[in-house]
Amino acid sequence: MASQALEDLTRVAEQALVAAKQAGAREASANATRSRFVDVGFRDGGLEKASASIRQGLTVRLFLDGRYALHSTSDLRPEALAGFMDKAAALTRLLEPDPQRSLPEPARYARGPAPDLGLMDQSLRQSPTALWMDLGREMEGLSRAAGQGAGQLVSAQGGSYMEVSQDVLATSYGFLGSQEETGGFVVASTVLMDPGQGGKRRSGYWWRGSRRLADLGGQDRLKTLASTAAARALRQMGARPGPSGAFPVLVENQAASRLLGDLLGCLSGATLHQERSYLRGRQGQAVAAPLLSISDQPLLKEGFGSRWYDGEGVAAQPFTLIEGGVLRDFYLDTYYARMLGLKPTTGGHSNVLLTPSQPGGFGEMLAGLERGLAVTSFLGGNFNSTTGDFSYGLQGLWVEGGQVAHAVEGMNMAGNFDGLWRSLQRVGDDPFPYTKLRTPSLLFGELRLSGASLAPGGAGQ
Amino acid sequence: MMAEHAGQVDLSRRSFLLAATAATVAGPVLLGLGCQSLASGQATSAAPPAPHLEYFEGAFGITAGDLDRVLREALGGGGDYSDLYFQHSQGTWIVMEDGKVNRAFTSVSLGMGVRVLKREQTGYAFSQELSLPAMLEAAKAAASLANGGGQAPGARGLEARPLKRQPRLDLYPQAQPWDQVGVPQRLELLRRVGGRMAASDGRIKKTLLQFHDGQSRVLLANSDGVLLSDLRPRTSLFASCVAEQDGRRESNYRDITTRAGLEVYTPALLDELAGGAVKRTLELFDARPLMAGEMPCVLAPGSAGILLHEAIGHGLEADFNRRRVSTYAERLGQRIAGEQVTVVDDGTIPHAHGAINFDDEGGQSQRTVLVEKGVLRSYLHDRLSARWYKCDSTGSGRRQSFEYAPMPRMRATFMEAGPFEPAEIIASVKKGLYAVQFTNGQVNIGAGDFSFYVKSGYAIENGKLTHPVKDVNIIGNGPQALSRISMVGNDPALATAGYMCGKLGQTVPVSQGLPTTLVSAINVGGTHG
Repeated sequence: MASQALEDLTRVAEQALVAAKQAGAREASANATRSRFVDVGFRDGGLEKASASIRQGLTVRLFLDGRYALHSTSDLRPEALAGFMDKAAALTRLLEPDPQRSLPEPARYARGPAPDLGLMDQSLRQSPTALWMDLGREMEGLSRAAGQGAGQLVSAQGGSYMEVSQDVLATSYGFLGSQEETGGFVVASTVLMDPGQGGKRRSGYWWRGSRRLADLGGQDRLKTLASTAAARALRQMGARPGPSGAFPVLVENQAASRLLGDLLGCLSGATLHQERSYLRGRQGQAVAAPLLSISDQPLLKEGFGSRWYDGEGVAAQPFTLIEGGVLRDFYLDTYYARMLGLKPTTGGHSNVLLTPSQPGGFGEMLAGLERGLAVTSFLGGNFNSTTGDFSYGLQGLWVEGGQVAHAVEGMNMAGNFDGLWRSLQRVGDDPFPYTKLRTPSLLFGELRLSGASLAPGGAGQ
Repeated sequence: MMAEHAGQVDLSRRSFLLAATAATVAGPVLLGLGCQSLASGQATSAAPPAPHLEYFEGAFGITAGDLDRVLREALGGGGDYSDLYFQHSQGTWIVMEDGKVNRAFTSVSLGMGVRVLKREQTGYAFSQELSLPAMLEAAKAAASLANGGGQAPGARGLEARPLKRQPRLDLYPQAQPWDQVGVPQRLELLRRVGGRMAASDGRIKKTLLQFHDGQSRVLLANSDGVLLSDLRPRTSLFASCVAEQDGRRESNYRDITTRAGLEVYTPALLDELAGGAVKRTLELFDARPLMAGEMPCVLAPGSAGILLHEAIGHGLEADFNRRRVSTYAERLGQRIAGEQVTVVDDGTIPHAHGAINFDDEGGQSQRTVLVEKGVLRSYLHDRLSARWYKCDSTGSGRRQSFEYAPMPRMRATFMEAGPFEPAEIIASVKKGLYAVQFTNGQVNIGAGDFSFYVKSGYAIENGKLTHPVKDVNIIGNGPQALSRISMVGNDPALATAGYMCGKLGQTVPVSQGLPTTLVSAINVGGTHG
């Protein structure tokens, strides 16, 4: 398996560990990474921008005289590395000791041989730039045709992106892990003029990604992307606020990653330790409706967050965060587990999956909605992890009797995460597959929406 | 927030790139979490050549001959313009948690990017190695990419003109440059702020300080013969705390970001940061919900410039208009707001977070009037859009780093003074919101819808500020909100705030400002309706 790139990175990581030891580090870990990417964008019949390069870097964690610091550099010249390490060690020595900092217990390290997670595709790895140029060009052509078919086309785009990356992690306890991955993406985008709305444009985009080249091309697939992008722009035509009040809210799978991401933030060790999580101290308690189960699945085949060792070198294994609405576990690396007196899991998420509550995705859930809002994207807004309060701007569809009544923009929804997740009524079976957070569509009970004006407030001039 | 980034380089890269790919065509433009910048009053005028001009030659042996060779290679595929952007950045982040300085991050980034333009096509490649063969390879790749991937045998682009050093501004001189400041001096700043916060009130349970300083050395050479170099400092101090009262927890922060050296952190400023973070946090215990819905909103002076940034700034970036995807496309010369509204984007404010001595493709930094007395006057142009519109660049071509091609970006965006007394503006509102502290702006370029978040503010009842409010999101439409600006105050302020602005996967520092301003009706989110 060892490619030249992996061999080079392994040498860099091992040299860094030697230098760290010479600089006085008791323990150290070194993570060397490299990726080659091609990023292509066509628009309105021509190439707009194409970039391609190789990016590499080294990140070193030093545990020195009971002190801890992390240092990264993209300058991997041997003569630069020595100076880098000396400066890094000097800075680390000036910090205050933190006896809880250390590498993980060696028993927790992942052990080879690495499992085959299906993350590397030889044909994608060897694909030339020209292939991605052609894919982007073809995507743009189809996207333009679909946009023209929809009418009022302002601009159409097609793009492709590929990355081949290598990751090597070495620690001073002898752990050496490496992972080589490929990924490719193709994206279509359409901007249409909204004829009734004085210069407003409606945009829609859609994309797919895969570890494997064979999953990306093909005219049928690209046509589906193009027509989906155009349809998503079309369905926002004539958007306006819906009524203010308390209504059920359906959140489309892709948009729901915002809610899940904010929830996961409350499960991170740093947030918990800073007492900035509304879920602090609530392990074993019901924090959501019983139909919510969330797990972290690092060993998923071909997953975009899959890995066999985590950022510390700890063996990756699936675990449950929330089960039947009950909070089971947090994201805890060695340090934060120690600080909080809890069992370590892993410091950051891999692939996150939700268990569907019944068959059916966004379409079926929308058809079952008597009167309410379907959110297709969030716009700005904020989540306060300390209190659980949220207030998000949104765009979407107003639904009456299971049918779309009109497109929605200019609305806010607000509430508290405790109430939101307890009000969860249905978890779709349509997880969005092209990201680490594989969120399905989610249906919540009544949420406070502010939209069209209630009554004229006191006015200025 | 910045401090955590260094630790997550490997974890976030793939998802970040993924997001960037999608966002390239998605439309929504994010303005990231706020960091503040100090608009120091010390004006500095143009510019003695600084000693760092020869930096890349001294440190990496880059000669004028190398630059010329690489530019010629870049134009070898028929390109009509090329620029080389060298960057060597170093940064330090230090975290103090509950009074203990127990972790730090450092980061070094080195490389050069080659951009080739062929008509409207852009090819871009970079190299993290500054050897001549590596740079020539990047140039060859960029030339081929600009050409749609093919070689153009025999095609000969324009010749690069002889490089000539250009004059530039000197907007961010440092009295105490960061490379001459020891770690103990940095720690002293943190101990002062952390100590003040912890000692200020028994309800403060947790404190978190994140300090950053960095400097980026930049060298730019292009085929028009422009040669420029810069040393761009940046420092920030983010002070936040968690307080507890009657079993309830609240958190808030105060921060500063500026282009300056250690001298900016006066004792008075450090105490203000500590006091501000504590005051803003404790005040949240008195906050009461606001009725949700459409209401008049008075924007406090300073960081409320986020309204301009989202409601009009992004929409005036010329790349969006050239492609007709902005709601402001084809509206130059039209009235888009009342007489009181004059909006400026200015890269020349000394020490401002958004200040640039020159832009990232060699354009001169300038003050650009976007809206004059309500009439749309100019877009924000980079070289590519200026060429298309047959006008001059406004010096707005900016990039996140050597890994990216530049595009039109804001610098410091603000509204000029109007005729009203601030008190008069508040007094005119019967029932509404007085919005003070802002984060998390975002805009949908095509529809013009924008959103930003009010971390703290006050309710206005019968012309008076009554109780604090918190955590409300505002959503509106750019052209509509501008047309609803009904009173502009006589107290213009460039925010003590600077923000990081994200667009199509690239983040750059910006500033913003606004006098006290009344928007007659805007949609305010909340849990009570």
